[in-house]
Order: sequence, then C-alpha cells, then structure tokens
Amino acid sequence: MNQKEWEKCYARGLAFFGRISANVSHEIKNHLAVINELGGLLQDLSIMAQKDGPLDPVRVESLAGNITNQVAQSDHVVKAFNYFSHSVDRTTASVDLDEFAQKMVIITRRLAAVKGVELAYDPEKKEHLSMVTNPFLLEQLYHFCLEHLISENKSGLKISVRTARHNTNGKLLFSCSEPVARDMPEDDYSNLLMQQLKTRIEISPDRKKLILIIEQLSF
Amino acid sequence: MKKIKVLVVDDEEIFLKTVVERLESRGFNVQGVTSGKDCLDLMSGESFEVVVLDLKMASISGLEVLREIKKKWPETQVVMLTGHASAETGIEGLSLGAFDYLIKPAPVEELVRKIYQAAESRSAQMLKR
Repeated sequence: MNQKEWEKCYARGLAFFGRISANVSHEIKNHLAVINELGGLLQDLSIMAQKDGPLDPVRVESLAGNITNQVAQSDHVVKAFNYFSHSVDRTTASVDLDEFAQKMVIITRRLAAVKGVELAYDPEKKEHLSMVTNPFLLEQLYHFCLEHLISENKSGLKISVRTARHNTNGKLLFSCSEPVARDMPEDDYSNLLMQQLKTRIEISPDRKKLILIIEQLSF
Repeated sequence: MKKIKVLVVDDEEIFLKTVVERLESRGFNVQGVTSGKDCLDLMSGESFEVVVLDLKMASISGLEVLREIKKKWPETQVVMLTGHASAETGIEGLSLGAFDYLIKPAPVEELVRKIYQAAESRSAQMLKR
C-alpha cells in the first residue's frame, strides 16, 4: 500500500469506526432507557402497594425478567463491540469467520433495523473456518456489502449472514428475502479493500445472494 | 378535571408499554403506537394534545413524522425522545416545530413536566385564536 492509500485507509477507517461506535452507543442507550422505565415501574408498583395492598408476584417476576433480558441483550452488544474494537490491534490475524459474522451482525443489526431491514446471523451449516486476514479491513468490507444491500430501503427485507468454505478459502454469504443484490458501485476505497484482502464479490443470478469470497493472507 | 390526551410513539415495544402505564398512573389519558405510520393513521381520526415521539424509528423517521404532524395538526405539541448523546437532533426537531426534547434515558418526572408544559402551551395558543 502506498502513502496515499494508507492515508485513505486511515481516514475512511476512522470514519467507519466512528459510525459503528455511534450506532452501538445508541443501541446501549436504548437498552438503558428500557431498563430505566422498567425499574421505574417497579418503584411505582411498590409505592402503590404501600397504599393499596400487596404486589402481584407474577407481575414483579415478569418485570424483573424483562430487566434481565435487556441486560443480557446489552451485554451481547458490548461483547461484540469489544471484539470489534480489538480488531484494530493487528493488521494480520487468524479470524474465526463464524465468530466474525456473528459479532458483526450483532453490532450492525440496528443499522439495518433503522431502514426496516431484519438482519440475522444464520448458524446453520456451521463449520469451523479460520482465515488469516486483516480483520478491520474485512469488517469494513462486510459493512460495504451490508450498506449496499440495505441502500434500496426495502422495508420488510430480511437478510441472513452465514459463512462457508470456498475451496481453500472462505466466504461470507448475505442471503436476502428479495432480489436486492446488484453489482457493487465503483468505489476507489472498496476496490482498495478488496485488493488488499484478495477478496471478490459474486452476485447470484436471482439477485438474492451476495457472496464475499475471502482468500487466506499470509502472516 | 379533564385528563390530558397523550400519544406515545416508540418502536421499542417494552419501552412503549412501560411508559404508557407509568403515564396512565400519573393521571394522563394515554395511547401508544409502535410506528410513525400508526401515529399518523390514529391522529387522522382522533386528536391528541401532546405527542411523545421517538426520533429514531424504522421506516418513517421521527423527524418525518414530526413534519407531518406540524403540517396537519399544528396545534398538537410534540415532545421528542432521542437516544443521541448530543442535543443536535433534538435541536433540529425544535426548528421543525417540536415543543421540546428529552434525551433517553430520562426520569419520568421530567417527561411528566414537559407534557404538562406542552399541554399548557397548546391551551394558550388555542385561546389566542
């Protein structure tokens, strides 16, 4: 990579990191807002019970369960974000592709949801697949693919992400409920990422699958 | 005393249900919907004094819903809810005619206070007409 390309990588990478961080902090805030209201409702019920009689234990259990559930969901997001944050530690690393897909789906689910798109990780046909690659650049390429698919603003669209082996390499498959996959728009930066990561993109003839084929890099 | 009619719009169902219950227990006449479309549909047949509107929702954004409300029912006051850490989006909403905004998570007492202020402002505007 030449100096100009490094500068571009730095600027675009930082912008990407900022976008994901803002999105994740927003999602955590939403969970906190729900926890805040549920805790507040428990307080309300407790105050009312002091005047009107005993608390309904089933109601309390349900509210407490909802709080626990919100904490668990936030925890998933925080863990995935931690994984993402550490992806800049090394320029080349061995990446478990399934774990990568799972974590990326968690931290980008909300980006899709805002556009009315349901994004899910598909754990079926799971096979352990480790790839030597640049994790942070791969995350950016994943994001390019996702943004490309959700850019049509098809509300109600469902996208599932899974991984598979591709000869000696790996692939990330984005399967869509509607034919929204098109050739990627010409973009200097995504071209640079693909070149650096030795990846290529294929679109299925029915335009319902976008396949990111990833070659192994060497350390 | 007549209860203030409030419509809460938020696509997070548990949040919506809980806020509706907490506002009802504080003496408001509250309804809740989970989308901007449902909000506009409901308002076409029923009037509300105050709308508590989440800004970040799927399909139609809160700001788009706010624009529609202020165009069709300018007398209805809108208190926006935003998850943004900065006040930028809230200020954008104010420029579009919202009464005020709150950053989530916010204490319910603060929301209650804003709803009362918004309802009073609406009454004052109606008297001037």
